[in-house]
Amino acid sequence: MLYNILIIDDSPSMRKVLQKVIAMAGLPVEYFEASDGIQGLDQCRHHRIDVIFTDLNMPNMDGFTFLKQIHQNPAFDDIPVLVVSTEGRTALIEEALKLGVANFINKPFQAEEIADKLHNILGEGYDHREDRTTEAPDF
Amino acid sequence: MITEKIELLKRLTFNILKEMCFLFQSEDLSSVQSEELPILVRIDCGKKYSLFLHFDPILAHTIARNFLGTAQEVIESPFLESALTEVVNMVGGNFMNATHMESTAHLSLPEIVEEDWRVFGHDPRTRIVTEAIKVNDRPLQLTIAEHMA
Repeated sequence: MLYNILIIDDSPSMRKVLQKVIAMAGLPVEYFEASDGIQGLDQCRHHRIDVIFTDLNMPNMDGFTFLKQIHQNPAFDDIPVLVVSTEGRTALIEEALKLGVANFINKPFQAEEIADKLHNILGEGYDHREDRTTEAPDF
Repeated sequence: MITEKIELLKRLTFNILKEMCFLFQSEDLSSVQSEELPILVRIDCGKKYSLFLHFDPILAHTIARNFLGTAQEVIESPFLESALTEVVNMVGGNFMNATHMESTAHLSLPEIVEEDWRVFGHDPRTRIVTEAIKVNDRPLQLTIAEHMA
């Protein structure tokens, strides 16, 4: 069974780079993409997502608003989220962690760092999330 | 001091180009002559600083090629623009982290712009420092506009 990974970043280049880096983890994955939080929520509603990688600084709906929406929605609040951002300010990292973020990765990053963190989440004992897309309420 | 900030900007830019694009500063570390370069990206770090990175086209394609990990000689739109704006996004974010800006300060979305830092030229409340440096023997011009309250 494939792991469904959602990458939310307004930069198509960064989405491409993240896919290459995630592939280095050697896990069977299928990618879903979104260029902002609104599209990210839409992808969550329509696909069984196992892990989310999200940027914070994005147009239309930024990463924090997306995290709040996910956090408040029982259909999605258990999806592990990794924030990949240039933000390194402590207050903002703490705010993201309060919203249930599994890990915070600073740009620029090392490819191994992403692969390691993904293995920690999807490693031994990980059960694929149930498909809850049919019960997902509107955001 | 704004002169310290331009040194910081140079250091951060080189570090990001090294980490994400495997590019290195040229052996000749002295500043090169400033020249008109065609691709200019702006990002605002809170209300206090605007950063401008002005790319030589060959360097721009090299950065995008290495960032994307492709052997393609010419990087097509929108990947060229998004690779450059992503690099500038990283520079801006790390600049804010390094200068310990308050958490309410907002990092703008990086954008390719037509006008340059000279838009602030007649504003007495703005100080501007610009330096041209070399990366892989190609020019890259870095500018900080510091806006006084």
